[in-house]
Amino acid sequence: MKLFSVAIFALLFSVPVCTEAQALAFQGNPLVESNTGYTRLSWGRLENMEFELQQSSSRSFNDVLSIYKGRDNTVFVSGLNNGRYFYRVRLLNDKLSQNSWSEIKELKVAHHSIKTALFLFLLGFTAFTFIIFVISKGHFQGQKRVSQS
Amino acid sequence: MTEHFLPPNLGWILLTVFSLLWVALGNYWGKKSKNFEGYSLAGRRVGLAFGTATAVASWITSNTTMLAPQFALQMGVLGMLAYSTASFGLFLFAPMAERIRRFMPNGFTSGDFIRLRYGKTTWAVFLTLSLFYSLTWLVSMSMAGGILLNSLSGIPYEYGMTVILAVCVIYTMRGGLYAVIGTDFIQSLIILIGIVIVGVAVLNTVTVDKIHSNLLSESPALLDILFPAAIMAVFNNLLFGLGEIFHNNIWWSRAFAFRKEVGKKAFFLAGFIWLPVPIAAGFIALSTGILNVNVPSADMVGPLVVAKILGQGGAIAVFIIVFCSLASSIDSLLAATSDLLAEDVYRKVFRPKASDLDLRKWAQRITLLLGVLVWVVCLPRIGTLATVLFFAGPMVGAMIWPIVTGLYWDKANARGALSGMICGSVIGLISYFAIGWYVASLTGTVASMICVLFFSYREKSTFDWNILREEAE
Repeated sequence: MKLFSVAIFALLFSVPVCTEAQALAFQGNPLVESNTGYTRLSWGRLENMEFELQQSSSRSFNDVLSIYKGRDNTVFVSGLNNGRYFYRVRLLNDKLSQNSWSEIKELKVAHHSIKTALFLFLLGFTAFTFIIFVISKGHFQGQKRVSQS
Repeated sequence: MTEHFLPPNLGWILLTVFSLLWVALGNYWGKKSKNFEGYSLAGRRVGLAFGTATAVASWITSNTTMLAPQFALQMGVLGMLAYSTASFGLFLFAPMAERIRRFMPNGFTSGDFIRLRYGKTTWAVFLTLSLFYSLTWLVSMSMAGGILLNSLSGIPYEYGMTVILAVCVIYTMRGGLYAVIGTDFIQSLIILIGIVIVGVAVLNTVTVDKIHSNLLSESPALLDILFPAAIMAVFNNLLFGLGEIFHNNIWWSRAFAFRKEVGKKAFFLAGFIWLPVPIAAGFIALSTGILNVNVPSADMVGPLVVAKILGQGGAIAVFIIVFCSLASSIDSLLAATSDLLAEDVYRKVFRPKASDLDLRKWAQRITLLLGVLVWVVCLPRIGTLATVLFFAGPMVGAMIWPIVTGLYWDKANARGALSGMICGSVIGLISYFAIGWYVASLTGTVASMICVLFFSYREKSTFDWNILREEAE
């Protein structure tokens, strides 16, 4: 009976920790790639809990940037240069799990090549210039004809 | 859990008040339409003030107020400027509107022009692509309505989206283009005054210096003028805007509806008024870092920042601005698309001798059906606003050259137009999946341009411009 009470007690107090530890995992693949420097990071939803999300350029989190503290379970990060970025999340207002970080999520940013971008820019510029040329020429010729007639 | 800035009750009250206002105004203006021409083209007597206001309001869509901040958040300063290039569509359509009115004094739709200029096969392809685009645009705007109400006040996405769509369907069915242009006038005033107030308030809260130093440390690429995806997006967005305005019946119906001497001035003025709007709307997204505003979804950034800075008052302002911008575009698109289907499909294909009353009834039925169809597609929230809208980008880009050369070159021909529309769409879609949504319109336009130029110079055909007039008479 005593053993049973201890088991129930242990179960009651261990369940939330287990649930939170399991919930605090990033959604999706642990490694994501981006060619635009932005992505969306989500983790398990827990009502009335505060989270902290950290970003680092090293897997060991030597240089840390705390990018979010609050109750949302999704954060949109953008404006990242080429490189590898590592993210981890933890609960803030829960004493039992305050120091336990989630598994690390890695984001690899490799922007499109600038050559490709400039090539497409020039292509667009050319098409646009031709369009302006056709419209302006047609417009002024049309006006000329109208005034002549 | 996302924080809401308005209690749901207040959200519902605002939604009810503005819904009743638009329906009542639509009903009031709609009484002027006595026949199909009145219903679909407001009697072809729209003046400069109403003309400019409706062009501005129709082009300030939910995408301007919600997508421009998304562009800024994803692609930085260059992305924000890229969005503002959509105003070139209005500038360049100004001379085209004058020519359209002159060549087709009694025309009804953009479909009329394509059918008379290029024949029935090209017309069928044009109608398919144009209707597909109109649907994606309607879907993206209706989604925006649901997203906005949900993020601001916690009203469930499905309910918010349904109410906004239903309101627009009701007053468009009731009053046609008279109702659309009348409500657009009020809506454009509210939007412009609201954006100025919000912009001044944001600048009083954070300085540009602080935003700059925060971006430099946390999101440096947003300040990079050589941000590759943003560089690609500049002309992609510009060409998307051109393609949308050049082909869509929203703009053609206005060209037909404005008084003869008004079209050119109205579109030109509208371009100038519209140009700074996405810059003002986009700028606030760059302040998310310094203001510590979390953005769970990129398309919610604008409303979230304003509501955070200005509290409940700001949330109410955003609510009203975006509701107006949504309604002013959804109503225009519903009216233009239903006219296109009533005139080009019902009258031209099934009932050439349909009476005015008959056409008006069918335009109303089609508006209702479109509303139901869009509602069904919007129910599952399928992606961000940008991905939904820009999926149609290749089709839109592929229309530019067939329309422009069709209006100005007598040597432009059906083969060029048809191959341009098809090749442009296919190549644009390939690049949409291979590279990204930010290049799809650009590649589609270039592919279409090559086809049109090739066939125009290869075949020595000459178009008789009187054909456009003959139909009307």
